[in-house]
Parts: sequence; structure tokens; C-alpha cells
Amino acid sequence: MGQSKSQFSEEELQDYEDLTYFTKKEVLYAHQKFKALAPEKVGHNKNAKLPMSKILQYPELGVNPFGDRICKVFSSSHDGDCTFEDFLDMMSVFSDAAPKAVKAEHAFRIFDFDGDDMIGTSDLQQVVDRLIGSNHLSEAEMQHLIQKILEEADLDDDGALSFAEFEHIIDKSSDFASAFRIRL
Amino acid sequence: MEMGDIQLRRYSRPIFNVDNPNYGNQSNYNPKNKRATRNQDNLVYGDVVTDFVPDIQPSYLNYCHRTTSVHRNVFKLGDEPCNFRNVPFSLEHRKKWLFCSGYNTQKRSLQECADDIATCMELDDVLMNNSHESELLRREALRDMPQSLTVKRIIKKNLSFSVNKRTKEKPIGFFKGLQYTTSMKLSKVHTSLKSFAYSFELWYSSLKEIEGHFGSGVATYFKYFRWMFIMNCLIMLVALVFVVIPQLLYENFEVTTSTSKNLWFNWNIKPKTKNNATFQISDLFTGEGYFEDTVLFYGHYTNESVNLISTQWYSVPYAYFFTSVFIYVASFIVFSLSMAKSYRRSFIETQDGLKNNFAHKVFCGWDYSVATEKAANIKVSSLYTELKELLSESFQIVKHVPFLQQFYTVVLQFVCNVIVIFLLGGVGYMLWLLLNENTAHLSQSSSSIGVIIAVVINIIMLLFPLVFGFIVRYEDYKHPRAALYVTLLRTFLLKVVLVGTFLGFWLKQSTKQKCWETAIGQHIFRLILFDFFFSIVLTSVVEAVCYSIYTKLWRGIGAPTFDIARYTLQLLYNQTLFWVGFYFSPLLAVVVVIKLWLSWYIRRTCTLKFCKPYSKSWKAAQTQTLFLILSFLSLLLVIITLGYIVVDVKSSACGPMRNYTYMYELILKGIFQLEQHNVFWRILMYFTKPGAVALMLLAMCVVVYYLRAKAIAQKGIVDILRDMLVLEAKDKEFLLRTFSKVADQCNLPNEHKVYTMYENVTDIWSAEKCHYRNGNGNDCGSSTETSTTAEVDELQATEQSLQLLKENKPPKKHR
Repeated sequence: MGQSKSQFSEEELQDYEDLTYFTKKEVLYAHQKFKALAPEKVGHNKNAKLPMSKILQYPELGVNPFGDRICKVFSSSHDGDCTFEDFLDMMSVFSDAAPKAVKAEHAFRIFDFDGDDMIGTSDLQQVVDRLIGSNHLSEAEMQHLIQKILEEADLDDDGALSFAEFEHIIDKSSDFASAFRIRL
Repeated sequence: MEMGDIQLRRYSRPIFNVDNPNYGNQSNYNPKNKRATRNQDNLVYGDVVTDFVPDIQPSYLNYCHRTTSVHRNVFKLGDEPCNFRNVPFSLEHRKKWLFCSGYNTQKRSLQECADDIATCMELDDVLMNNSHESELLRREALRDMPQSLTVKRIIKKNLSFSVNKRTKEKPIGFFKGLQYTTSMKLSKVHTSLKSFAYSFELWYSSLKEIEGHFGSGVATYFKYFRWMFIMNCLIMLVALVFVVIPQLLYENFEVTTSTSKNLWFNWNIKPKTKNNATFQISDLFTGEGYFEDTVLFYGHYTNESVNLISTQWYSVPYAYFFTSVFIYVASFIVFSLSMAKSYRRSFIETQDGLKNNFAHKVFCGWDYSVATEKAANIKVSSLYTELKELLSESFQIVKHVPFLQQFYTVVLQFVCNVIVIFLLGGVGYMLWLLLNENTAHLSQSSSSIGVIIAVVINIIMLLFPLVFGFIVRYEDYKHPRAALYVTLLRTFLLKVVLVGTFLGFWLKQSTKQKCWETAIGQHIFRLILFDFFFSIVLTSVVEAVCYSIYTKLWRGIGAPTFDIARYTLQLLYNQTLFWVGFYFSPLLAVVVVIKLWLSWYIRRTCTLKFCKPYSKSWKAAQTQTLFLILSFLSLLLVIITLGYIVVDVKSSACGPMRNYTYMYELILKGIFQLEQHNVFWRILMYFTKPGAVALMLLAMCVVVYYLRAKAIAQKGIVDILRDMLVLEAKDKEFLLRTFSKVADQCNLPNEHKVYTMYENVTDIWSAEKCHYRNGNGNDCGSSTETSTTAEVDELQATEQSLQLLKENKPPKKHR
């Protein structure tokens, strides 16, 4: 703890505390976790940029079917490589204290594979594919499933979910906030 | 509000969509722009609706601001943490700002992006004030902004720079400055408290480990466990400080008042009053013998006051009574609040959400806290099977269940319920008989009876849930969750019946005993102790045996699963016993805390070592709410029972209340020194008259009726709004179609502004109209003729919608 403390100035810690949902201690703890991913690199430069493969060694992200998407959404260079600040941002959004709306915002971006600001049928298909892993749904089943999701969520019938529609669905789910959470 | 302008922008997004086939490709669009449109959509929608339905304005605006989550705190008019002000509605600034804080465009550097956002934010006066509120607002707006932390830091630096500059230009007054600094300090204290709490977060790593292995479902049990543990710890502290320690002081020290100069150092140790029973190991399990006359039980406490400092007196009876009352009231408040919160969150707010099975499964299906390969695989396969089930359910055409079968099911369920009621009644009666029999025969040495009864109750508690599980399998409930809830409820009833019978019996016996309060304390003590052996130790041993059979001998048995419902009910039972017993034995809190502490480690190790995760997904929030409701109910029952005891059961000749016939007289006689003619007494009497009570009940009924009517009306509004949304979408789609048709015909360039297009369109439209009219009138034999009628219809509709657009189009003419 003492070592990582020396890597940050008080001002930086204050900044992090103001800009994330963490306290200073949690920020330091997050840095420990970050450092554990690549001790040498981070020991050298506290805000080193780690490649996505390193970030995915974090256990919760590694087994997550959307691990690479998460990295990409939070990476400031949009290629999945994360600096400590990106990592901290990620952990703060996944923490208990982050409000549901912020979580929904990021979940939307994670599910929006093609980045067109709408979750369309192709996005939905990818989400389902990743969720069921090695199992397989037949084409008809997949179509039916997507149809059903759109029926439920697509309020204005334009064949894709806008953010407002997505948030509406998330708002109605009591389990989202508890599921979309990673303990630091 | 310049509605027309916005309206046009609103339509501009899909029009590009039609015009530009490459729409959606990263290379070809500017996400920033689109994000802005998205946010504007919400704003526009708010405007449109508020124009249509002026009555619903506030609630609707609220909604639309919540949906612009990026800056929800700035826009939000009510609810949640930041409701300290109303925001003036200057759309222009906001639009710009929203526009800037969308996605990062890849071409620009982070610095540029941050600068842009900062410039936009600086335009907002509300944010840039030098006051605590806008400081908080700034912080929240920044924190909730979907930007990377690096960008946020730059923005923050820029903003604080410009705020400082502003302050220098226009310094704030002394009073305001004082207010500002104090509130800043307060929020600093708050964060430091938070970080203090964080460093003491109990069993953090265990929780993380369990979550990693089993997901958040099992973790809810452990979190509930931890919550109970912390609450009991607090109760223990209060009880120790206010009741037990004064009593110990009273017993062991006395103040010699003769040398009254030095108040603190003249405590003398009293000669020990001999405890005439010798300590035996078995006393640990029965709570009798040696323990009977210790601070563990009610009977031992004195009815006198402790003389702590020569002139100050500390009355043990008052302390005893009021500490207990405080603890019950405090836990009642805590439980009812958390129940209400949880209920609101998981049932009321998400009421319409229950229909969205598929969307929930897909969007909320993955449990992000899962951290091991094994758990992830289980999660994947369970998600797969659940999706499959949902699909096959939806493929099936809803079969009409024949009337006879429906009737059969109803009768079956009815019979099963009757059987269960009889079983419960039978168990209660048997217990009563058993208690009667034993006390009649062996009224002298009661220690062995107590143990036997505790064991019997625990065995019943172990076996009956199995029987209920067996019964519910034949009841043919449509949904497995219904079956789970029914079994839970029955098990809960069983526990209520058992504890109720037990308590009722001993209360009935109260007149026959020397000190019935201590006796009840002892019985509860034994129950709690044996519950530990049965529900924690025995269950763990069974799990371990099952697991070793599974790994070494026979795979068919299957690894033991972690049964969240059963374990949570056990926890609840333990807590209920504690609540019943606490009044008669303040040190029970210590016993329960030790018990819970041990059980945590046993449970955790067993779970991690032997159990396999629950293979079905667990609706954590809702079941959690159910458990909270059950705990609340049991606490309520306990409080009612204790109220009855205090008011209507004669107290015995031991313990702190031995001077009073009924315990409640302590308050009346002691505190208020009330007599019949006191004004306060008369007012109290007046309010407890049946007429007054009836009046109050009536008033409450009226309020409930009013609230209910309001809720129904709100629901109606939601339906109307939803219909309007669909209609709007249809309108939009239709307009787009006609637009694109016209645009195709005149080959407009891709990124043409809508309003110029509008002008072109009107020209073309009038030309076309002429053409069609001419065409219709003149050469009927042409090839266009077949499609004419349809197209004319469509074009007429287009004309209408264009008219609609025209009304809104020129921003300056409007209003």
C-alpha cells in the first residue's frame, strides 16, 4: 500500500475521488489491482497503457463474454488498450455506487457493436451469440428471439433499440443493477 | 421554444439514413452529431407532448430528463439525490453542450474534445457559480458523463480555472463564502466517513470470492447474513453499554459516600454474593444451573439504581426497559424502511417490466461478477437452456386447458393447502401436548426436558420443509417461482406456529413459575443453541458427506446445491428467536453474534468447498424483497407479542420490574407520575377512545383511496403516452417514406439540409400534382395508370404532412 501511495500525489487522488464513484482508498486499491496485471510496466509508469490481452487477465473480464467490448468502450484510444485511468473509470462504473443510468449508458455502448448508436438486429444477434457461448440456436430460433426482444423493447417500431428504449427496459429490470457490477 | 427548428432536426437523422446507404459505417458518419440528435429527440418529445397534454407537464418533463442520462443531474427536476433546485429551461445552451459531450470522435485528440466540452459547460451559468451547489452539480455532471477519465480531468481543470477567474471578477460575499466553506467541509467529512467505512468493510474478500464462484444470487444470501450480523453487533453494543455494564457495576462495586471529595476513586469492591450453583459443562447447553442467576437472564437484574458518582443515580429498571424498547423500535424502523425501499425497487418501479422476459434475459442475463471459468460455463449453459425454454414456450400456441383439468388443479391445490394447514395445526397441538406432558411429570428438574423439546423442535424444522417440498411437487403450479414462494410461505408459517405455540405455552404457565421471564429466556437460549447445531453444523456435515460420496463413490447423487431459500429462512428463524428472547435475556445478543460469526466461516468454507452453484437463474431482487417482508412480519409479530406481555401478563417477583404488577406501569407510574386527573393522561385517554380511533382509521382509508385513485390515473396516462409514441413513430415512418420517394425522384444531394429540401419538395410536389391531375384527366391509357389511385392517395397524405411540416418549419415565424 505504501508504495502505491507514493505513486500518486494528493491532488491526483482528490481528482480521482471527485471524478469517480470511489474513495481515495478504493482508488489506491484499484491501482494495486491494475499493477498486479503487469507489475513491471505499471511500477515504471503508474499510468502505463496495457494492451487488451493484459486487461482481460482480470478474472471478471476474462470470463465475461463481452470482455473485449468492455475494454473497447472504456479505452480512451478506442482500441481496447487501457491506461490506469481507463481501468479506474471502468471499475467505477461497475461499482455499487454508480447510478443505474450511468450503468445503462455504458451497457448500451457495450451492446452496440457496430457503433451506430442503435442496437439493431445484428447487434442483438451478436449479444445472444456471445451469451450462449458454444451452444447454438438455429436460424429460425434466433430470428424469433430477436423478433420477441424487439416486440418487447422497441416502442416506436423502427426495428432497432435507441438508447431511450434500452434505458426504459433497463429501468424496468430490478436485477440489472445487481448483475452489472464487479466487485473491485 | 423554437420548436420548428428542433422538429426539423429531429427528422433529419432518419432522412440521412434513407439518403445515405452507408449510414452506420464508422467511416461515414459523425457519431457526435448523432448522439446529439438522440438527446434532442428526448427534448423534442417532451415539448411535443407538453404541448398536447398540458396537465401532465411536470411528470413528463421529469421523465424526459431522466432519459437524457448523460446530464441527468443538470436536467432533473425532482427525485433522487440532487433535487435542490429547478433548472431554468434555456434550451440553446443545453443543446450545444449535449452536442459536444457525445461520443468521442476518433479523429480529434482527447485534449480538443475536452476543450470543446469545457467551453460548452462554461456557457451554463448554473454550473459555473461559485457555490457549493454548483460545485456539487459540476462534480456530478462530470462524473456521470460518458467520457474517459483523462478527458474528464482536463475538463475539470479548465472549469476550475474559469470558475476561479469568475470569482475574481465577482467575489462572493462573506456570508455566502462562509456557507460555501462549511458545506464543503461537511461534504469532506462525509467522504472521509465513507472511506472509513470502506476500510472496515466486513468480509469483503470472502464476499468477492463467493461472488466469483457462484454469482450474485448466492452472494445475496451472504450479504443478508452480513447485514444481520452487523445489526446484531450494534444491538449487542447498545445492550452491553446500557444494561449489562451498569448491572455489573452495581454488583461488584459500591460507592462509599463518606469521602465525597474524590468522586472517582472511592469505589470499593463489594463482597461477592455467592452463586449457590456450581458450574457444570451441561449448563452451557441448558442455560440453567450456574447461568440461571447471572446477567444472562432477566431474573438477575436488580430493581434498584446504581450509584455511579456519588450524587448521580442510574436506574437499572428504566435502563433495561427503555433500552429494549429502543432496540425494538429501531430495528422495526430499519426493517420497515429497507423493506419498503426494496419493495418499491423490485415490484412497483418494475411493474410493467415483468412482461419483458426476453429482453431481460438478454440484456441483464450475464452476471458480471462471475470470475471463474467454471462458474462462467455454468452461467452460459443455464442462460442457453433458459432462452431455449422461453423460446419453446413462445412457439407453443396457447393451449386452452380443458375445464375439467383446470377444476382438477384447483381442487388439488385446495386439498394440498388444507392438508398443510392440518399438518401445521397438528404440529402445534403435538408440541403443546408434549410440553404439557413433560411439565406435568417432571416439574422439578426441568433441564433435560428443555433440551428434549429444543431437539424436537429442531427436528421438526428440519423434516417439515422436505415434506412441503414433496407436497408442492404434486400441486402442479404453472411457474416454478410460484412453487418456491408457496413452499417458503409454508415453512415460514411452520416456524411461526412452532415459536407461537412454544411461547404461548410458557406464558400460560407463567403464574405457576417462580420467575417465568428467566424461564422463557432459557428456553429461547436453548433453541438458539440447538438451532446452531442442527442448521449449521449438521447441514454442513451432510453437505460434506454428500460431496465425498459424489466425488469418490457415486456420481449419480449429484453435488449438493446451495439452497438459498432454505438457508435464508434459517437465518430468519434465528433472528426471530433472538427478537423474542432479547427482552428476557440481554446477553443473548452476544450469544447470537458469536453464533453468527462462527456460522459465517462454517457456511463460507462449506459453500466454497462442497457446493455447486444454483443452476437456475435466481431472481435475486424479488426474492430478497420477499425475505425482507418475511423478516418484517416476524418482527411485527414479536413486537405485538411483547406488547401483550408488557401490558397484560403479570410480572413475577424477580428482575428489574418486580415492583410492578404489570411491566407497563413502569412507564406510567415511574416516568410521568401520572394520576387519573392529569391533563396529559386525559388527552391520552381521549385519543384511545373507540370513536377517535375509528375517525383516524377513516381518515387513513380516505388517504389510501385518494392515493390509489391517483396511481390508477397515472397508469392511464402512461398508456396514453405509449400509444402516442407508437403513433408518432408511424407518422415519422410515413413521412420518411414519402420524403425519400420525392427525394429519389429529384436526386437531391445526400447531405442536403432538410428545409431546402422542403422547398424543393413543395415545388416538385406542386408540379407533380399538376402532372397527375393532368395525367388523370388526359391520357388514361398510359403505363402509370395502374398505380395511379394508390399513389394519389399517398400523395394526398404527403400533402397533409407537408402542410404539417410547413407550419413548424420557419423557426422565426413560429411564435
